[in-house]
Amino acid sequence: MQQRGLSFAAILSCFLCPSFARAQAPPAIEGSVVNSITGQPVPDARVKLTRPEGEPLYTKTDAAGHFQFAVPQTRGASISAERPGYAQRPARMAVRLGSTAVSIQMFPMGVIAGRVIDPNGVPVEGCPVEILQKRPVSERRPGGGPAGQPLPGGQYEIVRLNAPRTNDLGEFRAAQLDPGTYYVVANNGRLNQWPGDYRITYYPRALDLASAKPIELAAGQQARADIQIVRREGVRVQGRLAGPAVDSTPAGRVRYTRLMLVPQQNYLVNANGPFAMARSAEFEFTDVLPGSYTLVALTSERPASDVWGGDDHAAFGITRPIEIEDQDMDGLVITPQQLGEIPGTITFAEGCAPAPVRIMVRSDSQLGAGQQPQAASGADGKFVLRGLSPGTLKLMFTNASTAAVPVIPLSVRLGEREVLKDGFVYPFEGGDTLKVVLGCFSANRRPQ
Amino acid sequence: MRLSVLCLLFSPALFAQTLLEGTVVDANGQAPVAGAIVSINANLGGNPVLATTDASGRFRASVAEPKFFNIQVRRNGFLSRSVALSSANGTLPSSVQVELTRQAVIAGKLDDEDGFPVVNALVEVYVAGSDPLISQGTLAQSDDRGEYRIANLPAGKYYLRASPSRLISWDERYGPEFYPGTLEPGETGVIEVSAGQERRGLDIHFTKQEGVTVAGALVMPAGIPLPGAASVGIQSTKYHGFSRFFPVRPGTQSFAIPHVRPGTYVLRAQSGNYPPAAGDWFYEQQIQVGSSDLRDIVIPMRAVEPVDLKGAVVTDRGPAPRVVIGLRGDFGPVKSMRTNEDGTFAYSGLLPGTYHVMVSPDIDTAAARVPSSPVYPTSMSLGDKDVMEDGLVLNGVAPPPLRITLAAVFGTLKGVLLNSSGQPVSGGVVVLANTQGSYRGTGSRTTEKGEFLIKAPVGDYRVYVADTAEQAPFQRQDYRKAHENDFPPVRIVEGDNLPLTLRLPAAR
Repeated sequence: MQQRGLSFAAILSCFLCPSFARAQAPPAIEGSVVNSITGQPVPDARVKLTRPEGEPLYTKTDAAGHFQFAVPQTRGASISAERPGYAQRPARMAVRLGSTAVSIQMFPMGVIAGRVIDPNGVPVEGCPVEILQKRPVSERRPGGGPAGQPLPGGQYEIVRLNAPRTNDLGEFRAAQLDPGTYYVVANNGRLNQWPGDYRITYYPRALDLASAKPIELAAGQQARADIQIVRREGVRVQGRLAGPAVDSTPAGRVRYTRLMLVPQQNYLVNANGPFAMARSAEFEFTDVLPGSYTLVALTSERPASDVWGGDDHAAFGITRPIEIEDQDMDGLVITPQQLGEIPGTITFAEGCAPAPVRIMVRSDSQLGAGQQPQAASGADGKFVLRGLSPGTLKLMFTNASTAAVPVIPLSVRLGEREVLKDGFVYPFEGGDTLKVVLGCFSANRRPQ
Repeated sequence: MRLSVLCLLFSPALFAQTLLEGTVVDANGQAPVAGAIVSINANLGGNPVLATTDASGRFRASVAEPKFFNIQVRRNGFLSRSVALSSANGTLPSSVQVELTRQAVIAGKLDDEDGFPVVNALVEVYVAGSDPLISQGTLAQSDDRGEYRIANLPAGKYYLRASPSRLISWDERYGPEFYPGTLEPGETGVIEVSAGQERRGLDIHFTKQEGVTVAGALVMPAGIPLPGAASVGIQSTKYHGFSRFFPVRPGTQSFAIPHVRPGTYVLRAQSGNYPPAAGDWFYEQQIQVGSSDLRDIVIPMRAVEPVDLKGAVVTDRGPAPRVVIGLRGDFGPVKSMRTNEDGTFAYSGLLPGTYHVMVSPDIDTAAARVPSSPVYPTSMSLGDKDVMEDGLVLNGVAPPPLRITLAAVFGTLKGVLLNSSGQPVSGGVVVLANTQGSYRGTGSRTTEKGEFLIKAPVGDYRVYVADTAEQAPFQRQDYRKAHENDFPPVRIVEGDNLPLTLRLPAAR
């Protein structure tokens, strides 16, 4: 038995000898990992080879940033690399058959760390610190990450990246940041958990982006941003609801209305303005800072038997601009409109194969959080958005059959208006419909 | 702020206002606590009134005249504390003192076999000795240096567990581990902290383990192809919150999950997204993984078909009051429904899954009306199956009626809670727990005079007491076992019972 095993090993070793392998097998997979800024090799990075069949293989780069996998090249294999403080771009690199060496670019990433204290100097715990990047609109890549909020002038946009929370010492740390210009904002994460005159504060002690100090972050740099929450008294805004939303609740149904003042220059997705709940058709906002807002009201309805509100749906709503001066405002009358549906049609650009598409809605109003519905287009490209909540809505699209084949929104028109970039205000007067044009990636991964 | 308060005081449409004053002090030494945020919730619902304490630890706030209200005090470095106050006897307390206990902190660093920091790992604290494990409810995420910090811990003994999801996606041989580097909690990993203590250096060095392979195939009814891109997920039944998903190979409908560590898992096969929707194909089954590969697992896929559920609420002595029935499923919001006048209820369109049944009083928030009798279920049965503990399982087949029985005969127990010096304890919790069957408790928060009032079904109870609502783990069996003889048991008879004086022991 032992004899037979040895014979088999001998035969196998003959087949695996270098000369045979060079003659018969594709070349092994090797390459190097380099710092994309300096061009220097990155030693001690770990490298992973993922193959269509079999387990992944792992190795590390040597002092010269070089790595090698002692396996033949196979179709569909890809390589990824990791090293603390770096990010691979692109995140995964396909192994091309016949290539001699793979070069992996690693970008040194920056960090912004700091501390948030309240007006009394007490560390603020559990505060989401929003990291906003100021980015030229021209650098926006189709299908490449989140779209930004355009700044006045149209050349730049603000992109919300992430929001680490402060610990019990008020400390936060945001890592994996590209070189660029950043703003840092201490947000009020828990609604009604700050005293009313504590304000969402931009680094270092500013109430808005225009007064905030930008942070220029170089590749691999660590910057510090300490923030002290600004205290500022506001005014009171009082009013009442009118119209069918409050006049005619059907028997066996329950309605309630929530209202929000959303700052018109709002770069923070989850940091809207004051919030109020209408009781007996009356509402009141307290401690509102003067400025330009959008008042959003949403009347939800459910069966009276559904006590805990699991079957809530949006029934009435309104979105209306409002200027708050530096004195109290009384007598505001808000008439929510019945919410309906918006039909639309999707067409594909020339050269793109039509596919079923899932349409998602993002609202700038926290009132609709978690409730914004989705829709899917049919074979004829038609879809209907139902149950939308009021606010400024933006549409997003994914390929409903496979997320691996992305679609690229080229145009979204509501009636005659182009609304792809800025979204549209809902509800709106009239019966406009949506017309969407989508593009796709060509075989060589170029958008078309 | 001053302007806003004046407006409220003179607004005829709103409730009358009352001024509430108080002091926040350190429970250890009674030093004033400055910069604490005091949140006052009056009545039921509504926005809280917020105030901050000054250098003397004092706060004052104008609140709508309530019948009862709840004060929550938060200050970093301390455990948050809630105190309930009431004016049931017609007068509100003119001032209140809230004692804060210093928090404990656990901190450390995570790394892997390459010495790389483990980033974005979820680090969670469990109560040491609890079985099944009870999360302390405090968690943190490791940063880009692999460092974590968990605050807001009461003094106690804990286990620490980290789930390095990003590391696992890099190499599936890694998995969640307990401090100091074990798959299961144990004596070596018990971390004890006292009030105000900060323990650093509680590091975990993650190691790779090969585990075993779990493999099998999905089986559809004859003639029906498996639609869509199906996948199989695997999740520990013991430690929730972390799942791995694997695609099902088209054609063979087979799957293979490598590097599974020993334990009990739920395999979840699905044809679409999770949670499943009507029309999807879905199946869950439990598996036990040991030290050998598990192959040839067969998962019989079932169509997701909604069912209707009817039922009735009764008491053991006649008709039941109107109550709210809640069904908490595996996913989606809790579905709730008020019972009809005759105690019946009917749900429609329930998707397959396990549902836990909750029964609560029919509280009219707008009128601040609370039912006079507590709602205290004594049994829940689906057909002849008891579903009170484990919940009811719906599998697409029309279920028999759900019958919920409530206790009907109650007694009232009044009393006072004193500390070891004989002073009343405000904001404490007194709970009566039944001595028979699974745990059911009914309790009361103490007023500023240390008074409590509990309405409970007639029967025998053990008495459990905690200084604060935040430190009242009565749901934990081990806690109840450890404290079952702190106070003599009581028997509740119908009507008024003899008043009870409870005195906390000196060292708690």
